[in-house]
Amino acid sequence: MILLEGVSKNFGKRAAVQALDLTVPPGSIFGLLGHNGAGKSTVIGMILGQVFPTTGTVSVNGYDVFRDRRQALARVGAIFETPAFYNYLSGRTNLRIFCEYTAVPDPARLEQIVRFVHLQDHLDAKVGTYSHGMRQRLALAQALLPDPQLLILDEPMEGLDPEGVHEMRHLILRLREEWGLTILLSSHMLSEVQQLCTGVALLKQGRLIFAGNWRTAGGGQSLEEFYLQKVK
Amino acid sequence: MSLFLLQLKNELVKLFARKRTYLGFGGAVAAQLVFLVLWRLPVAQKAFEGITRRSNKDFMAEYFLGLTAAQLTVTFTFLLLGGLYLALVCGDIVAKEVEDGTMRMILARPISRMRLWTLKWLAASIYTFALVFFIGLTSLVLATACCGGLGKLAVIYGQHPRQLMFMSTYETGAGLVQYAKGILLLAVVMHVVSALAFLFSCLNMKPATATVATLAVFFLDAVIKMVPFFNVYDQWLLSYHLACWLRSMSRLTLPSDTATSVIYLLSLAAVFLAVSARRFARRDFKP
Repeated sequence: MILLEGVSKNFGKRAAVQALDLTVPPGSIFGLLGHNGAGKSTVIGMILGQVFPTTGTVSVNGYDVFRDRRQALARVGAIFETPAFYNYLSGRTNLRIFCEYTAVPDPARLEQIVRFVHLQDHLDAKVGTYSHGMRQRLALAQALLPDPQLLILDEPMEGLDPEGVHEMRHLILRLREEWGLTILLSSHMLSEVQQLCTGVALLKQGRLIFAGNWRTAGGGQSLEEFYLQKVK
Repeated sequence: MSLFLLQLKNELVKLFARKRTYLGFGGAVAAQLVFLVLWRLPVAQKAFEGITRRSNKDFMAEYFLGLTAAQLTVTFTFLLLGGLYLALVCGDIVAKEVEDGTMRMILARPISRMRLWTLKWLAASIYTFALVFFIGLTSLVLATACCGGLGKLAVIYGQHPRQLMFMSTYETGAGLVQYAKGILLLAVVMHVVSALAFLFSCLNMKPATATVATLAVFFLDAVIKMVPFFNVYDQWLLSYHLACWLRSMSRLTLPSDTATSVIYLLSLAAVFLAVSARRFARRDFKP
């Protein structure tokens, strides 16, 4: 589903990502872990064609993200740590604007998605009045609207209260189980990743230090213990 | 409606739903009202009589009405505020989306960067036309209301406040046509301001920096134009060519001179746009 081969990214003299080879298999919830500045967001930026790699290739669904952007990202949805919207417009207008960058949204699907993220009662309110949790759910709705096969979630639980984290975790699990989506999840919250992911990639200072099934490799350790052992 | 037009409509919805976009329109009307009050002061009337070098009251009664006052008001409104508001809005149009994070949300979609760049520039261009036409129309309406009629048009243009370059006069009908043509020309040439602000907006800088950088270029240009030693360089200055909309109303100005100014400004705008497109296509949109 996602394939990165020999990918490096330098910002000036600083190497943000170094010689990264990574495969995210279809149908899984795959965790991308690392400390602050480890390069997770840069990797996600490269997968979405927002950051140009210094070397290497990035492909999604068999298409090079930079050469065949339209095909590569045709069935991809993404949300980021701080969901950004036009605060002075309603949730509905925001969804329509983001969706219409690629296609006119089907009204029936829009209603289905909005109900799925529990925003049906707030959709016509201005986004500026939304709580952080509501913004995160609106972000999920805009990512799901174009009927994606791959969902990229960059710190989706950051800043949420325990109830919001619980709700987001259930939504993610339902998306994999009921919708059959492949999900790439970048997060600091190891306890959440432990509940959601089997396959993980660990990044340290831009280098990949582990990729694979952490449960098998960890031999009964918790993800936190496994992570700390690897990054030391 | 094709998808492209729908996307352009959405860009305009985003632009015109913001209060900040209307700052230019509101500020322009306020400035026009101030100028219209100032024009009616005896000291201003006396100055105009001096400029026209005809002290008889009939000239003032016939010519210093809506059309002439509107033309003067547009000149001063754009001198003070037009560039500022264009720099503010066009400098925001990409940089603000990058700063707010919405650009990353958009670029998570399979839309090509060139298409997005085109949509953004078209929105900036439509705003430029809208602001200039609005100022042209409101100046005419307010000046006509304040002066008690349209009157005839006396076009007054000077390189320097004390140096009268020319004055052409037109009957009401011909004056209206000249005024409309002048406003259209102003809308076209002001695209050089929008294009420069848009270029800065596409670079890796904050929206406020893009606005200030644009204004810095135009203020520097205007200062150079005001310094007598640099008169020989007038032909290279933006402020000189931007005044072509006013010069074009004079019977003494050759159409080729106006064409030269328009070509010069639009060529510069094209260069600014080419650089901005290149940068927008190649830059990283980092978290």
